[in-house]
Amino acid sequence: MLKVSGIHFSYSQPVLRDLSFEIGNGELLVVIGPNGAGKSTLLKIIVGILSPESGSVLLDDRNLASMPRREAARLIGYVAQGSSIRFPLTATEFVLQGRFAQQRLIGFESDEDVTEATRAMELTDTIGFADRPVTELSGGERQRVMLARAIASRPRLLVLDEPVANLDISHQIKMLDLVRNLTSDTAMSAIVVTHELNLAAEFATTALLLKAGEMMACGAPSVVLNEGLLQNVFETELLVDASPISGAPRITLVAPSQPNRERNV
Amino acid sequence: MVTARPERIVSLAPSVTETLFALELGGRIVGVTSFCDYPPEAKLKEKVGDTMRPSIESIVALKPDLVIASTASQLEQFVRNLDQVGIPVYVSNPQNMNGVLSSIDRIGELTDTTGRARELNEELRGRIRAVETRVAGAARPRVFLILGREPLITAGGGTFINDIIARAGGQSISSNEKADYPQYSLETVVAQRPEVIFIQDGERELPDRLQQTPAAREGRVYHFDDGVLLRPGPRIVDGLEQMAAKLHPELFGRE
Amino acid sequence: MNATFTPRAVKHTAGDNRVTLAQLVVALTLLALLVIVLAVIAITVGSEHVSLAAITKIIIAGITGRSADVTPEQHIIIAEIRLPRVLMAVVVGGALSVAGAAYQALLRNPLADPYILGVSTGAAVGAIVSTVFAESIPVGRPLAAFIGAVLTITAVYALGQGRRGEASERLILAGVITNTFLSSIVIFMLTAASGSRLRSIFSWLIGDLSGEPRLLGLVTVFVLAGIVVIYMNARALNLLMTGEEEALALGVEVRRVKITVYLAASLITGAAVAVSGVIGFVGLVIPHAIRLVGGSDNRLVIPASALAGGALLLAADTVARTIIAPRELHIGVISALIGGPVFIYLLRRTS
Repeated sequence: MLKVSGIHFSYSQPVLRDLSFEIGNGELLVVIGPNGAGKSTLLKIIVGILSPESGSVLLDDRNLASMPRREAARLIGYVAQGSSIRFPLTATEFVLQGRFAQQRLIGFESDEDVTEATRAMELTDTIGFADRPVTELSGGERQRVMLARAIASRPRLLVLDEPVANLDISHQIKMLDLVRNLTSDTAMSAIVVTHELNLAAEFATTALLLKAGEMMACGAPSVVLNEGLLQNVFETELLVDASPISGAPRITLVAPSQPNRERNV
Repeated sequence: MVTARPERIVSLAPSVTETLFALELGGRIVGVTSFCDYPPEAKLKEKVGDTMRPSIESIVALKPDLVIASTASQLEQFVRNLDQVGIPVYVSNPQNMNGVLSSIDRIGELTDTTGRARELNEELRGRIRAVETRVAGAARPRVFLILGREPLITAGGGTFINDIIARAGGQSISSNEKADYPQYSLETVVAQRPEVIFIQDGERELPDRLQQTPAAREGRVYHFDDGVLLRPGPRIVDGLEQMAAKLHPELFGRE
Repeated sequence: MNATFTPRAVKHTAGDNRVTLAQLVVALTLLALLVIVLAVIAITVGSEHVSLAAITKIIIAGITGRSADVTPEQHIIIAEIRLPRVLMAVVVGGALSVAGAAYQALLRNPLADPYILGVSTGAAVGAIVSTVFAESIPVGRPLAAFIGAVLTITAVYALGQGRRGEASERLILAGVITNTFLSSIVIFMLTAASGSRLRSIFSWLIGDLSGEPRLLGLVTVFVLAGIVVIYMNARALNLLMTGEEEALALGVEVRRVKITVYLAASLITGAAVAVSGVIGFVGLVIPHAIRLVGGSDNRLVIPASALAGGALLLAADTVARTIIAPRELHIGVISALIGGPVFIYLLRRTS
C-alpha cells in the first residue's frame, strides 16, 4: 500500500539517495541502520513533513504530494522521536487530538471520537492515566500515549520513529506486539525505526537496512539480518544465529576482548 | 567658597539666565544651556548642554567662578560632581512667587549686584501687588490647567503655577491635590464646570469631552506659553499679569 | 492484549478528562456574568457621584434614542466618560489576554506574553514620534502606534525566517533583538524630548485607559474579529502545542495556521496598545491562570481568557480611578497588584 520510488533528499549534504521500496497491506517494516543513516528523514518524507527533491511517495496508489493535509493525516499515524511538551494536557486530551483529521473545523469531540480514543488507550495500556497531565508521565508512559494518539484515527499506515526507545523490556515487547497485532488483524501496515535489532528480528515482516542514505538490503528479516551485512553496516563485531524460541535471527553483541573474560566461540 | 565678584558665570537653567540678564549681568555670563532662549542675546552664549544633562567637561573648560543651577532640573548628583571639581555652585530653588524674589536677592548677593537686585525686586513686587489688589474682592472664576492631554495631567496645589492662579484671582480646581503633577479625573473636571481653562502650549485643542464646559462654551480656553508661566524667573510676573487679564478681563481692559 | 473493547463501560474514564461543550458554556457564562457585574459597578462608581436613577435614565435614553432628564454634566460623565472607559477596559483586557494565549500556544512557551515579539516597543516608537512631530493630528497617536506595531511585526517575522520557515526559537530571538533595539530608540527619544511632552508620553507608555474613545468602535470590531479568527484555529493550536511536525502529521496546515494566528494576535495587540499604551501583566498571567484552572485546551482558554482579561482590567481600572479620586493611579500597577496575589493563590492551590 506504500510505494516509495527514487527518493532523493539533501540538507546541505545528501541524506537519502535514490531510495525505492514497497510495503504491502499488513506488513510491519522495520528500518534499521547506524546513526545518521537517514532513517528519521525517510520517515518524515513518508509522513509528508519533508518534501523530497525527487521521487514520489504513493499511498494506496495516490501521490502523497498532491493529497490535502487532512486526507494524508487520516491515512497515516505518526509518532515522532523525542517530543517534549510543556503544556499539561491530560492524556485523554492528547489522544483525542489524533482524531483531528476526522473532525469538522470547529466543534467538540463526538461520541465516536471518545470511543476510538478509549480503544486506543486500552490497547496501549494507557487508560490508567487518562486524567493525568502528560507532563507528569514518565518518558515511557508518554511514548505509549503518543502511540495511542497515532492509532486513534485507525490509520492505514503507522509510522513510528523509535517508539520503544524509553520503554522497559516488558513494554518494548508489548508495544511491538501490539503493532504486530494491529497489522495482522486489520489492514494496517507499519514502518518502525528502531535500534533494537532483536526486537526487529522478532516482530518485523520485512526489514530495510539503511546506511548513509542508501538502501543496503530490503527483505525478510532472516535475509537482511545477516551477520556479514550487519557487521559491515554497523562496523562492529556481531554474532547472528537463530533464536531457540522462534527461529528468528538472534543478534548477539561481541564486546571487545578483555584479558580476564572468557569467550565461548 | 565663592569669590567676591564672580566674572565668569555659568547658568544651568533658563530661569537663571533670565534673572542674570535682568540683573544686567549679561556680560559676565560665559555659559548657558541650549534651552536658554530669552533674552535673544542668551542664544549667542556658549552652550554647555541641555538643562537635564549638562556637560561637565564643557563647564570646566569655561573656567567658571560660579555655576548657578536650579533643582527643577534634578541635578543633585551633577551638583555634587561640580563640588568635587572645586567649582562653586549655587542651587536656586524657587517654589513660589516669594521664592523667585528671594532667589533674585541671593543671586544679587553672590554676584555683587545687590543694588540692581533690590531695584528689580521692588519693581516686581510692585507689579505683583498691583495685580493682587486689583483682583481682590472680585469673584474667583474656577480655573483648570491642562498640562497633559492624554492622560489628563494637571498641576497640584503645591506647585508654582497654582500659586500664580491664586494670586491672579482664580480658583484652581486642583488646588486640593497634594501631588505636584497628578493624572486627574476627567469626570471631576466636567463636574466642577471650570470657567477658564489653560492648555499648555503644544498640546492640541481642548479634549472633546470638555467642550461642554462653561469655559469652552464662552470661548475662555487659552494656550499659555511654557517660557513665561513655567519658568521661575523674573518673567513669571509677566505671566501673572497675563493670566490675571484673562481671568478678569473686566478689570484689566483689553490689554 | 486484544483489540476488542466495551465502549459503554470505559467511556466514563476516558471521556471526562477533556473540555466538552457543556463545560465551555458553563465557564463562559460564569465569566460573562462576572464581567457584567463588574461593568455595572464600574458605571456606578467614579470620582463624582452620579445617582443610580440618573444612570438608569441615561442608559434607557441611549437605547431608545430620546434624551434623558439629567444635567449635561451627568450625561457626559456617564455616557461619554464612564461607559466608553468600561468598554475600553474590557476590549483591551480581552485583546491582550487572547493574544497572550495565542502566542503561548504558537511559541509553545507558557511564559510568552503578547509583547515578546516587539509589538509594544514598535507601537511606542510610533506613539513617541507622533507626539513629538505631529501632535496636532487627531487620532495621530493611536494611528502612529498601530503603524509602528505593524511594521515591527513584519520586520520580526521576516527576521525570524530560517531555512525552513519560522521556527519558534528563531522568532523569539528576532523578537528579543528587535525589542532591545527599539527600546533603546525609545529611551533615546524620551531623553531628547522636552519636559512636558515627556510626562504625557511616559504615562501612556505605562498604560492608560482614560483616553478619547474616538477609535473605540473600530478597535472593538477589530479585536472581536481577531479573536474570532484565532478561535477558529483553537483546535489546530492545541495540536501545534505538542509540536509542529506532530501537528503536520495529524493534519494541521501548520504554515497557514501559524501565519494566521501570528498576524491576528499581533494585530489585536497592536490595536490595544495603540489606544491604551503598554499595559503589562494581563497578557501573560490571565491565560496562565485559566490554564491552571481549566486545562490547556485552547477552545476553552481563548474565550475564557478574553472574558477574564476584560474582567481583570475592568476591576483594576475601576480601582485605579476611584481609590485616590480625583487623582488616578496607573492601571498597570493596579492590575499587577490585583492579579498577582490571585495568580499566586491559584498556583499554590493546584500544585
